[in-house]
Formats: sequence, structure tokens, C-alpha cells
Amino acid sequence: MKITLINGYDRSRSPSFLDSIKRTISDYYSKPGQQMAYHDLMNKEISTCLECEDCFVKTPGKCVIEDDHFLIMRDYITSDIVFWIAPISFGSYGANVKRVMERFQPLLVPSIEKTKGKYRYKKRYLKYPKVMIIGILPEADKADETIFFELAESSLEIFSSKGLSLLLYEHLSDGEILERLEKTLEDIGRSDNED
Amino acid sequence: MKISSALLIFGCQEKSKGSADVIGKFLSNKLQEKMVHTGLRYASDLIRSKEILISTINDFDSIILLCPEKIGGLPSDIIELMDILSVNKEQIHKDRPIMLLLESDFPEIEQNNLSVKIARNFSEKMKFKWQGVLCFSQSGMMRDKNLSDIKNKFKRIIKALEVLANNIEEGGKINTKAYELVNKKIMSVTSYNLSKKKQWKNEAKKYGTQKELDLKTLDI
Repeated sequence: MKITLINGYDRSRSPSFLDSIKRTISDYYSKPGQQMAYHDLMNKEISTCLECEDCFVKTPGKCVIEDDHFLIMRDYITSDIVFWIAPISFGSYGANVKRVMERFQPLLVPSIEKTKGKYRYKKRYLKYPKVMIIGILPEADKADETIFFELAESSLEIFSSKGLSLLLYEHLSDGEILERLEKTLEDIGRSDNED
Repeated sequence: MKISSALLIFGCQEKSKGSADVIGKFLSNKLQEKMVHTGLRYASDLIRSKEILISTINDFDSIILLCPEKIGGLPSDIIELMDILSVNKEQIHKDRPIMLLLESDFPEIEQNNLSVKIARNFSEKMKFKWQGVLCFSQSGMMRDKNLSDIKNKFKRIIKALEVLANNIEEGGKINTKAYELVNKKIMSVTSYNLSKKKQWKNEAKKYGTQKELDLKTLDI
């Protein structure tokens, strides 16, 4: 099983907070044969999508911008489970996480279909990873939280992934992070068995 | 209260010649006809310097965000711009009108709902005056076009932007007439989807990739 973590949270805000999330996830999956990839977006150069649609028609499935994005997208699509750690801005994912997601358009093909009542691009690959989107807020904010959960649901649909979203506050203790994350990891594990 | 200047911030990329560009440039001309001074800036440029962003924002009476819908939300450059403004909130003039013009390549305007919520949430947190949002669906039809050159096809869009220019000049909220005009589709969903398909097919033919459009490039 391959697991990928894509982190958009600035560790300098609270090193112990991020470390606690990473440790909980890696401990949970620390079984023989598990492969884990980690991408820290704070250390990567990712350009904004040019909206050229070349990944649709000129170089199908491949973005024409050559930067760190390619490795992230390859790890994403070859994983069984992907974790996004995303700071929340006004309900949206922070800009660095959003920028990477926008560059995932090569995972889709230039053809529109109606899914769950909404028009979407069709998927390019047969298998997409399960996705867990962990939203980070400094403190409770009802407006941000409501939008975040809707956005996460929409992102899962856009990229044809099953998955879950979870909200964590920066001030949570190690024990609280462990408790919330483990519960969600168990939910993901259960859905694995159902599949 | 009449306003004398409006800043149009594009969330699309300058080279994309996208529909937000087309809509913004047409609107800017209409505002200039009314002697409203307009500034056209790309978010991708503004986010490079916090100082320039803050002074640019403070130089204008009204803010208009023009964005494509991207993966179900606002473009990343716009999110980054909002973040910078939020962190420097104390330096930004409050109570100024802000509105959002959103375009989506998909055939229905509901695709834009989350972007609207995010922008409105930002406006409330910044204590701006939310003037509303206009959503343009089927925007692929406008890409790289000049609206004035194809008046017949886009007559409702043009009329909506004329109504909007009046609203902006007056410093008021977006008029219901403008909503009604943009809510009507440019063409039927079936025709639009077919025309998009044809557009992609023609592009692919140009590059010789017509049989490779669903290629599993990452070979998994």
C-alpha cells in the first residue's frame, strides 16, 4: 500500500502541531510493505496553472510546466491513500494547496459528463486514490468550516475519489489530534474493507 | 454615492486570453465611457509585492474581482491576494464596495456556488461592502473574443454588463436585471457540450493528438 502526504501547512507556525499530525498518520500505517511519500509545499516551487489546456489537447495528461508538481501528481495518482494537510483561508484551501490541485487537470480528460447532477470532466485513469483532506484553522470559525466541508466534498467528486474531510484547530493538544485523526483513519480503513 | 474609480483584479493568467479577461475589458470600456477611472491588474502580479498590492487597493473606490472557477473554487492567486490583504487588514480602507464576476466553462452557473461563498466570507471579514456576484456560465464561448465584435450572440451578456456599469458607477448593489440577463444560457446545454467537444477535437487535430486524448500518461 502506498500513502502520500501533501502538506501545505507552514511548520514554523507550530512545529509540534504538524509533527503530531505526521506522526499519527505514519504510526497508523507503520506496517511492513507500506510505502510513504511526503511533499512539503513550503519547500517546493509550484507555478500557477496557465489555463492553456495543453494538458487536454497538446500533451494529453501532461502539464507543459516543468516544476516540482510532476512528482507530486505522480505520487498522488499512484497512491492508495492521499492526505492533504491544508490551511483554510476564508473556507478555501490555502493558496499553495489550491495551486497544486489546479495543476491536477491532467488527471482528467477533455470530455464533459454529468455526475451527481453536476457537469464534470471525465476521469483519465481507472483508479484514483482515497483522499483525506485535513483542514487547519487557528480557531473555530463557523463560516470557514461550513465552506471547507462543502469544498472538500466537491474536490473529491471532481477528482473521482472516495474520501473524508477533517478539521483540526492549531491549539489542539497531541492527545486531541491523535483521537480525532485515529477515528478518521479507522473510518477510511473500514471503507477499504467495504471495497 | 457615485464612485470615481474602480479596480478590476483578474484571477486568470494574462496570457490565457480567458473569458474573465474578455468580460473585464468590455466592462472597463463601459466604465470609462461614464468617466469612471479604471485600473486593470492581474492577481498574479499584485501578489508579488505586499506594498504595491496594498497601495493599489487603497487607490481605488471600488474593487471588482474577475475570476474563472477553478476546481470548484476561486483561483489560487486570488486566495493568496485575499490572505495578504487579511493579514494587513489594518492598512486597508474599510467599507468599500466589492463585487465578484465569475465565469465557468461548464454549462451551469451552480458550479460557482462555493467561489461565491468564499468571496462573500472574505468581504465580510474585511468589512467591505458586498455588492453581489454575477456568474457567467458557458464562458468557453467568450474565450479570446471581443464581445463588441459578436454583438448578436452575446447581446444579453453585453446588456448585463451595461447594467452592471451603471450599478458600479452609482456604488450600488448589482441590479436584478443584470442577474436575469446572465442567468439565461447563451445556448442549450447539449449544443454547448457539442461545441466544446468540437473545439477540443479541432485543437487535437492541429497537434496530431486526436487519438491520444485519453492517454494514461503516467503509465500506472
